[in-house]
Amino acid sequence: MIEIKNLCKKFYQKTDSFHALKNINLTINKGELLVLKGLSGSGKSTLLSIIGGIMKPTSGSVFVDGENIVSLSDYHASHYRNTKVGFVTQSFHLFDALSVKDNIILPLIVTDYSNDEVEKKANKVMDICKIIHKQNQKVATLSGGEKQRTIIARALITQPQIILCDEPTANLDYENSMKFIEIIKELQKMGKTILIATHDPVFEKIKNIDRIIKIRDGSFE
Amino acid sequence: MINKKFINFLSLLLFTHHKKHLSIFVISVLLVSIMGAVLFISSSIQKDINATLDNQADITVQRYKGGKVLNTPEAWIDEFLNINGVASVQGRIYGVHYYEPSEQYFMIVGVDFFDTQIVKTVQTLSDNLDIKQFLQKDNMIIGSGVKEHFDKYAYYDYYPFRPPDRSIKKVNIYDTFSKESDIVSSDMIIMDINLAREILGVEDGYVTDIIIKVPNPLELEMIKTKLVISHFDMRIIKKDDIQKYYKNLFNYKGGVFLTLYIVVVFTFLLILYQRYSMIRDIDSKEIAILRFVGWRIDTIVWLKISENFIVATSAYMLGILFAYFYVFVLDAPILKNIFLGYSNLENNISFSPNIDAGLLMILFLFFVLPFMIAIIIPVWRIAIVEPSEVMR
Repeated sequence: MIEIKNLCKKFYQKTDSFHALKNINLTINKGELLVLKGLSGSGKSTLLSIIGGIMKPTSGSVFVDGENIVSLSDYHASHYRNTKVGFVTQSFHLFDALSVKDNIILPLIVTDYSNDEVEKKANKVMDICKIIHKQNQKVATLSGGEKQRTIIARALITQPQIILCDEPTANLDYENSMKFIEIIKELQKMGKTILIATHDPVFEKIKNIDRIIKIRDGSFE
Repeated sequence: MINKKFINFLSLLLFTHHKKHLSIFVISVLLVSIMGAVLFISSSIQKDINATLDNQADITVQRYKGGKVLNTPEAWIDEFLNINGVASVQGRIYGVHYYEPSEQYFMIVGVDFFDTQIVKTVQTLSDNLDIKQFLQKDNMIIGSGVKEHFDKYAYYDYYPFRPPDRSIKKVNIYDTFSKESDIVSSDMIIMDINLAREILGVEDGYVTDIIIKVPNPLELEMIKTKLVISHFDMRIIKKDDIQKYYKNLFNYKGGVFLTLYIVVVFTFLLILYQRYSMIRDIDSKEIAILRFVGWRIDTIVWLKISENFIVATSAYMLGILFAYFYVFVLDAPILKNIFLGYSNLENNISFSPNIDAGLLMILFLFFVLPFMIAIIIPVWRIAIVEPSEVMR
């Protein structure tokens, strides 16, 4: 379960500052599929980044399974990102010169899994994400949809309970967006807690969305 | 966390990043090659010079009057022999011959071929020496540099010297010293002591200088004092003084090269800094991705250190190999002339391998440390920033 309490994020610029998140309170249950809708700059990505442990809030707390991830040290925050969260981003944050498989296994390099176990896990997630046929191809040569599926496979390889998707279809065409939705449905069946930040109407086609929350200027509507 | 997967990933990164590392690798190999070559030449020459100096006389006495070196009376030899602690005393005849056709100076050394010790030394330089045959005529043994200049003007078999009495003294070329001894013999002409006396115009009863052998080093100072008291118009040079002179010469050259090295290292650091400013984006993206998927800061820094340490160490090793090849196989063209520039003739010496492990270690530290620091700092600075900020 994720429990967000009085979460605020303020960004400081040279002479200016602005509130990206204003006193957010939210509880997300285990296995819930939640869509955060809002325009660009509304604070969706900031909220996901904080839940994903890659950004610290200005104030407030985020409890994941009873642990406040906001106050974690780098050591524990890294472990949290590695084991509990899978992040799917709009930009293709991949090592372009490496193969699909080498990118996917990145989170497991710093774990104790044996090579055989890593291989098995990689094959499994590549199969789910329908990218196994491209496993030895360099990322630089992939299409946008294939890159996105590689990112999803990488997010899934550590079998995290929480999947965070930040504008996952922003760089995809309709066909690839639908493929992505199919994968999301699969993950939902697996009981994952899924948060999708988007302004793409294509997500309204997912039948089993538990909640749609609208966010505007850093606050829930 | 360092494991087999980490090492595999490191190898993969090195392989895929080879273009990124290429320019700095080439510059580093060049830098290490230059510095390595300087060290190899310096230690090789120092070894040869030390060996030569070890064979020098313990004390050399010259007559010195009014600031000028004059021929030394032979009578002093017997006087010095009476000093307690002196094992042997010998007069030497030597001087410089100006070879007009090439405008070069050669060193004529007169040798007493009845002195077995001296003959042994000469025989180490010339394998074909038969004393009997040598002394039958006016013969000389010449260095390879002298031979080269004689050959240029067709003096293949003999050379006509002109002593101060304006006569012509034809001296046959008996043999040429081996190339290996070039550092000491390139500009040298060795002949019988009496012949040398005649050619150099040293009067009977005089020698150029006197060398004294003192077996016990503790007695050196006392003997020097006795020599000073015996004659006031003399200059006494101890073996230590000659060694100090050469050491100072090398310290001076070493200083020049140290300054050069500092300049090169500074330039190298600037290149590193510029390079890392240029590719900062690539590294930032990679570091952010790794942080994103749960790598700890220390693991990322360790990955980058390992990656660049391998680049730096391979560059260092290749540079040292190139330097070794350049100095000990090719005989260091260009740099050799800088080091041996004080010789009368251009040296054709071959450097004998003499590798000082301590110096190599210092070069390793001086090269690898700045290299690593120039990498660790930017990597660490990127790694501690929130991944979301770097990604943006």
